Parts: sequence; C-alpha cells; structure tokens
Amino acid sequence: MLASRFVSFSIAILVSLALHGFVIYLLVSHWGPEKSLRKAAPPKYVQAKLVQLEEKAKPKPKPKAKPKPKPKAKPKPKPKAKPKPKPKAKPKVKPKPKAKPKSKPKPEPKPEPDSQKMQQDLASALAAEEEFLAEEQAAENDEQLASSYSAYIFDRVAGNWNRPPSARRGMEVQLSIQLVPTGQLISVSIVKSSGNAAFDRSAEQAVHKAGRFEKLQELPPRVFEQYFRQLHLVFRPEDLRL
Amino acid sequence: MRKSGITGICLLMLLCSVAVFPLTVSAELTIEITQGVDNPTRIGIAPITRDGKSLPEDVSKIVSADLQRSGLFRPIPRRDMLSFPATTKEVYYRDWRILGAEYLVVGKTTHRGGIYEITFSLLEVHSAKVVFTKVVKGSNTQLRDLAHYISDEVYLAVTGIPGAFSTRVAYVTAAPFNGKMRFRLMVSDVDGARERLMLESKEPIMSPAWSPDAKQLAYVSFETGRPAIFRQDLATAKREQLTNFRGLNGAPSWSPDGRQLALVLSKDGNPEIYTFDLQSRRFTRRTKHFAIDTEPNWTPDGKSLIFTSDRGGSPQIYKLGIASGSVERLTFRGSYNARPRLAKDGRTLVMVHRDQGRFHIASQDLVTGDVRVLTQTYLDESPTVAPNGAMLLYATKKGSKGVLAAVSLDAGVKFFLPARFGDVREPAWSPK
Repeated sequence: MLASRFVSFSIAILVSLALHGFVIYLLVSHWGPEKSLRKAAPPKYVQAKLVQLEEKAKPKPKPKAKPKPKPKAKPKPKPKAKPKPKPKAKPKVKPKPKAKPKSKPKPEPKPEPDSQKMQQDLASALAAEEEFLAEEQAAENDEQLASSYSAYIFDRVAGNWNRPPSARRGMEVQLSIQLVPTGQLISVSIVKSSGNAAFDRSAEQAVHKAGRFEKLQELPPRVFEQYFRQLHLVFRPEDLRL
Repeated sequence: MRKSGITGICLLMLLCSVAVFPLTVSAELTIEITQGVDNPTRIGIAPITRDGKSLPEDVSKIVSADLQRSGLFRPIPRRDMLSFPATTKEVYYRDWRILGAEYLVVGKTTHRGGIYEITFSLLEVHSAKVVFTKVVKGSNTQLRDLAHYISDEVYLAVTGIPGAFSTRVAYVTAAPFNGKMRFRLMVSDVDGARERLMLESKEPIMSPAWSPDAKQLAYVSFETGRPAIFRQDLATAKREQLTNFRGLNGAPSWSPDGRQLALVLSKDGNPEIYTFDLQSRRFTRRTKHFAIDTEPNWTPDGKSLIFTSDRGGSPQIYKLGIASGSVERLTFRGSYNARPRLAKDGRTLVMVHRDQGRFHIASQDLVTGDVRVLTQTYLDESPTVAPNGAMLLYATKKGSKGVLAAVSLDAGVKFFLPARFGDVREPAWSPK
C-alpha cells in the first residue's frame, strides 16, 4: 500500500516535474523581454478581468463562499493563461482540486477596490497555508498584470515613435519615466543617451506624445506602485533597414 | 531508493525554482521599444515678419517649402494656424498640439541699416521645450539664403542629418531658338529659385562638375567645333579652356582637394581615364585598356577613382587605386551599370542601372553589396547625390521632354522639379 502510494506520488511528481520543465523551457526559450511582452498581451487582459471574478463569490454566504471562491478564482486564471506562453501559472496548479466548483467567470468590468476588499476577507478566513499560496498566486498575477500593461505601454509608445532618418539599428537610448496612478506622465529623463541628439529627442517625443496611459487606472494600486510609478524605457529600433 | 529518488526530484525542483526566480523579478520594470513608425514630422512654421509687416521674401514660406520637399516633414498650412507667435514667450503650446504639430518654428525680424536680423527658435510642442534659438543676418538680397539657413538648422536638429537646402544645382538646358537649338549652362538654388545663366552656346554643353569649394564649374563645350573641357568661376564668370585634344575630351571630375581633374581623353586611340594637375598642367594617364574607360569620379578620400568600363563585355563600374594602379570591379548585378557617383560617405554608390530593358537609377551599398532600384521613371540618367547623402537628382523624360527629378536614397520620396522651357539635363548638385 505504501508502495502504491509512492507510485501515485511519483506520478504526480513526474507530472509536476514535467510541467516545471515545460515552464522552464518556455522561460528559457521564449522569455525574450520584448517578445514575451507583446505576446502576453491579449491573454493578460482576460486575466485582469478574471481577478474581478472574486466579486462573484460575494453574493454567496460568506463563510462558505470564502474558502471556495478563493482557490477557485485562482485556478481559473491559470488554465486560461496556459494556452498562451505564460509559464508561471502551471506549477501553481495545486489549488486546483479545491477550485473546481466555482466557475462562473463573467468578465466583470472593473471593481478594483472591491475585489481587494474581498481578497482581504477571504484571506482572513483561509488557513495559513492557503493564505501563503494565495499570496504567491497574487504576486504571480501581479506580475502577469504588469507584463500585460507593459505591452500596452509598448504599443502606445511605439505607435508614437517617429524615428529620424539618422536612426540606425544598434542605436539605443534609455529613458526613465514617472507616472501617477491616473496614467498621467509626470516626467521623462534620459538615463543613457544614444549620442545622437535627434534620436534621443525622438524617443522623448514618443513618450510625450503618448502623454497619458489611461488604462493604468485599471491596475490595483499595489501593482501600479510596484511596477509603474517609475519605469525604464529602452528604445532600440530593430525594424529599420539600416 | 525510491525515497532518494523523490528527494532528488524535490531538489531538482528547488533548483529549478531558484533558477527561475531571478529571471522573473526585477527591481524596476524595463520596457524595450523596438518598433516605431516613420512618418513625416508634423511641423508648424509660424509666419516670420517684421513687427507684423511682411518681408520682401516670405521667409517662413520658403522654409516650409524646403522642409516639405525633403519628404521628412509635413508643414502645417498657414491657414490652419490658430495663432502666429513670433517669440517663444508668445507660444501657446495647446494651439499647436491641437493641430498635431510635433515641432514649431517661430521667428522675428529686425531691420537696421539695410541688414535683416532674424531670431528664430525651434520648439518641441509636446514637452513644451525650446530646442534652440539662433540668430541669422543678411541683406535684402540674401533673405532666401537666410530662409535656407533656417531650414538647414531645423532639419539637422530634427533628423540628425545636415540639411542641403543652401546648396545649388548646375544643369544644362536645350531649347530651340530661331529654328536652331540653343544650349545653356544654368545654376540655380536647389529649390529652383534664382536661376542664373552661366554660358549660352549654339553647340552642345555637357557634363558640368563642381569644384569642391563650389566656386567653379568644369564642363565640356563643343563651341570650338570639337569637345573641349573648360572651367569657369561662378563669381566672376571668367572661363579657361583646359583641353584641346583630338577626339574625346570629356567627363571632368574634381578631386576632393580641388587640385586635379579626372577626365577622359581618346587622344591615344580609345577612351582612357587621365588626371590633370591644375597647377602643373600635366596630364597623367591612369588606365590602359583596349576597352572603353569613361565617367571617372573620385572617392571621398581622393585615393581612388571609380569609372565605367566595358572591359568585362558589358558596361560595369570599376574602382582604380591611383597609387597602386589596381582595378577592382564593383558592380555585378545586371548587364548595364554606368555613370557612377559616390555619396560623401564613400559607401553609397549611385548609378544608371538597366533593369528589364529600362534605365533606372539604382544605389549599391559598397559594404553589403545590396542593390536597390530607386526610380520608377525610365530613361533615367545622370544621378547626382546631395552633399548630405539623403537625396539625389537625376535627369529623366516626362513625355518627350527632358526634366529633372529627385528621389531620396531610401526611395521614400520622389518628385519632379518644376518644369522649365525646353529640355533639362545633366544636373550636378553642388558640394556645398
């Protein structure tokens, strides 16, 4: 019996290992900074919405709802995320068994603060371990959110970046920008110049022209604070002929 | 044993998670912008006046036309402007943001003792910053020069490339006059304004070439009954005949130091490349081949000549090391490549290239070997590159008429120059 248990364990472990391996493979092979940002974009938005799903749990009787919804909400995002190159999600699969029951996930608009509250409530109701898992999960979600919104910033800035004809592949300028939670741009400064004033100016202009990144308002404050108040932008044209 | 296996797996997982961790957590989020758009820059050029009174030349209109013609700018029409600021203090950036302007040029003029002084500024509209403020002075007749100077400064700041708006073009026109052809050597601003007659003749004039200081022209004239090379000073119009050999005397080209001319003479039998020292008046034969060698042109370092030769069976472009005498073939694509000119970077070769029976202007990157056909017109000839390497002029046919056209070296901008009476041919872009 013990042996059979080991067997069943080892299967689980093997599966888990395989998943880890897959995740690592994805990370190693696809985690090009820009590529992953771009690719990740669409699924992430979906996920951002899923976070709201926790709202749904609310209507339910609190005591009951709590234990369940939490685990559930989490697992959900994962399966979704999977089709996309999102690596992290997999290993976390643990909570899955718990999660099953709830699946209502309608893409709710944006009650951010609420969801936060919910989360707090839920957290208190959960066992310590679950809480820990939840935190980890949240961090992961935050990260995915951040990279999703990075893609949004990429699109806004790239769409406004008018390169001068003296721009060449291999040039690079680094900017540091500051934002406030409304998405409004506060300041832009050059951290590292390309040596070509026109090129540097074109990058600064691109950020100024984008001006305001409204969608960042959708972010939970902690995600904004952690990732977006201060940002680093590297301009490095790769689509030029020369 | 199984247990140890499990422990091993656990260890492995731990290692994996440790390996993954640093990849995914970073102190400050960095976003890499690797793509962009390359649209013409929207720029507002507010009218430059003297206390509201217009100048003898509409300077801001000239600047606007210059920038528009470069293809890299899209000036905002004056009728759309919401305000006419003359100084940086008078600018309401909002007025210009609404119009989509990325940059704004403002300027004001003072007039004292017959001298106009224009104080002009370039501003970034979105960040509300002044890029520069400069002053330029000149007389009544120099207002166009002042305008081109402003264009050059704005172009350099925004594109990172020196402007070429203050340069000139030499060209030859041919038109019937009293039933006979009349040939003229002309020089004008690169925008076609201030056209000036250098030489008029009943016999053909060919191959104008600028001296490196842009003060003299060398050219071929048939006025003596056979082709001869002359040079002429632009300021004084003084002329001097340099060659009078039997046969072909053609295709002069100034060395970068201005001391020598490369040219083609057929006095020894068939066309060969020579250099002519303007000081010592000595000719030196540079090629010895039974095939035709013609159309020499100096590399920017003055150490080599590029020329056209049919020594390989079809016209192709070769490079001759002047000290070593070694010859190297440069072009391999197509069965006809001729009339080479090098951009100032010494890397971009432009030439007449036959493609499917049609003559186009093509460029070849001498480092990578990439060949690009730049023009869609045909019967294209005589390419000449702007000193800033951003654009070239060439002669082509529109209907049956010879006209000049321009194309940017990235082939993104193409236009015809204003039509003139008669045929226009053989443009030569001044080096300054």
